Amino acid sequence: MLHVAVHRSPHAHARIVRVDPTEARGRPGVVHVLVPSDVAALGRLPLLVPHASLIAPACPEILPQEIVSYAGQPVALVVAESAAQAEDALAALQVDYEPLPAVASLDDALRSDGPRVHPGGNVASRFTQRVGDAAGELARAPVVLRQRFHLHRGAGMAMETRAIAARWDGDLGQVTVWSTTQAPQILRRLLARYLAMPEHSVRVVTQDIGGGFGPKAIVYAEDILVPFLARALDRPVRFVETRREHLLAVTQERDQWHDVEIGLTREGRIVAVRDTFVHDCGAFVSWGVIVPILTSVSVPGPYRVPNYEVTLTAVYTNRVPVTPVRGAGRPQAVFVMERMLDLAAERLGIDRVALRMRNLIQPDEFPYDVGLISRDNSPRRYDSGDYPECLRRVAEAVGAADFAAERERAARGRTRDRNRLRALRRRYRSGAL
Amino acid sequence: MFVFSGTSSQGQAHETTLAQIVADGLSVPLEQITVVPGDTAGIPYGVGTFASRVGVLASTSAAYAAAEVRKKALAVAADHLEAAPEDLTLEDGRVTVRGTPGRGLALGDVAAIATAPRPGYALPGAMDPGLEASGYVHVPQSTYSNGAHAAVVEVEAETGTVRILRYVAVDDCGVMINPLVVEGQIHGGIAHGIGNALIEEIVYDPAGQLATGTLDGLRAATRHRRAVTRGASHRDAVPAEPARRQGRGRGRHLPAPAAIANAVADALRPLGVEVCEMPLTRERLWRRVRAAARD
Repeated sequence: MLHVAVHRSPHAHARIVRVDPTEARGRPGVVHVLVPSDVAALGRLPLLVPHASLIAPACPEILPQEIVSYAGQPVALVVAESAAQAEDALAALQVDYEPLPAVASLDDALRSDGPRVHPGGNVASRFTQRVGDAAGELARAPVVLRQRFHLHRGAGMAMETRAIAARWDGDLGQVTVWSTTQAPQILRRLLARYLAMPEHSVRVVTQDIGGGFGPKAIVYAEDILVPFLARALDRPVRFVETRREHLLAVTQERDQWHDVEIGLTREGRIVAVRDTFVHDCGAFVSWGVIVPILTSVSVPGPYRVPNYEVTLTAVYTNRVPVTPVRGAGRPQAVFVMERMLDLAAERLGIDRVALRMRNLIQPDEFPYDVGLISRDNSPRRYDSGDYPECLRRVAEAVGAADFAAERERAARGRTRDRNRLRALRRRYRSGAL
Repeated sequence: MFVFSGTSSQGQAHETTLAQIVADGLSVPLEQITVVPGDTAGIPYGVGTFASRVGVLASTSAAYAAAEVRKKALAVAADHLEAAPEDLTLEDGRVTVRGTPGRGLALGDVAAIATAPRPGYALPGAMDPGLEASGYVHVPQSTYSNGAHAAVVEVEAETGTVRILRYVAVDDCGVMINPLVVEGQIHGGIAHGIGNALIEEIVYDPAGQLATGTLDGLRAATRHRRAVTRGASHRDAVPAEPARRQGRGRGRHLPAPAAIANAVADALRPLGVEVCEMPLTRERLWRRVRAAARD
């Protein structure tokens, strides 16, 4: 079994000036060093989920030939007799970079005079969906609230990192790949393509892969290159990602800025919502823009929103690519809508549960057509449910009716704590402690 | 009995859920079923496991395949036992002729007959050999699960520390294929959501370098705070059509950050603190409270 260690870009954005594997190739146990020019012909990973709104969609090259687009992007692979030898030889691999200005935040991405992640510009997609006339209704609404929300990046962070092992059977012309992928058939299809083999000669086995949460459904460069190396070297090859690599290079999610307006009647009925948001794609969009699309159609949630307008702008940054992480764009939408409803309840002086009750879709309204097209290109239509009953039960179980009294008690507790602190301080100062 | 699925198991108990479905569909004891997810040698087509698709799609396709195998088993056994298929019962992994319990075949024997027809003899109805079937399902659109969550928190304004005193989730599940699995998904989703709400953040510096390059910096949610879950149901059977089934894989993660943020905002309202960010890390809340006190 041979082992792989990966040289990753130390820069968020840089030009690769020179890759010299000579010294690394001479290190103990090193069998092979794979450099970008070796796999130039493999090209890029495919755009798995195209969307009409995508402007010049950028997908990563299997190994970058000229430009690296995020810190952690794989650039070269060292193959050795042991994992430790492969890791050690990385230090001897010479890769010279010429750093380029990085687009490190949404702020950077939106600056018209700022650096660009890709030659096509920083906007990956921008489009609007409308139900009714949100602009007109907001202008007429008796009560309008506006708010900006910032939602930051998180990660799936499975306890088990990614791992791949591949074995080439030259006699049969077959490759077997043991992988931690969440999507074995997608990986097989892509392997057949990049290895130029019929699909039936590629077997992907996934057994117990550990946690997934979305980021393991993505096909990464190593997923293609480990089987590629097993065939090229005619030896079984294994790659086990380190925790640091998992933190550095596995896809993430959630960075969005929302500017939201909600219009209501004085009785607390929603008349319109308008949301304009920016979504961080990271450096590439292999999975298209399904995350921000899901955000855009999820904002109305279980509520009747007769007039809704959403404009999403998805931008590239020089950060790890964004793909779905458990929830896939929806937690951001729920956050935005539910915060707005609490703010509206406060402004209107209406109980928070009552305000929601007033706006929930009713059990006799199913199937309920939200009026939006979702990421599967089909209408967003809810088939069934009893939303008011769920809310009634949760309010009862959590004791919402006693919230005011509970807050009182908490405030008293706080006073008690303060008094205790003061007493302690007095005793300390007087030397009694 | 083997069940091959185009899924990839991450601990969501595919092995249990799909075995239950097939055991029900074929009247076979659960322990005789082996589920093999994640092997393209077992099934060539599939998409994988994400987006709550196993409960909706894989379980329905397993039910379709089981129904087809059942039909086939009865036809083969009827031919062999020289009985009408409608006179046969399939129970506990055995086909018997109604009224004559001695006359029957174990499902394994039926499989052997179906797999190796005698040369020169066709299977009944000229069916394809093998006691096996593949089921594929199509849903016209995504399915939607629903529920309501509520949180009660206590915020220590001096340090920005949030304590979750109560967290209640009511999930409209209808009939659950496996309540333990569903509850596990709900708890896992809430834990993940709490992590997103309060502690987990990936931070980059202005040069685009990852500043949270260790788990110490990232502070993922590692300790599960206790949550209470309640089931709610407006249905009394698992819907046969896949489009009316609902997955529970990710839904529970959605409301948690919103519920906690609303609770924190409510707690900090007397101090004039705005809550319009996620995650509400201790440092971020502490800064907010201090800024509000200055204003």
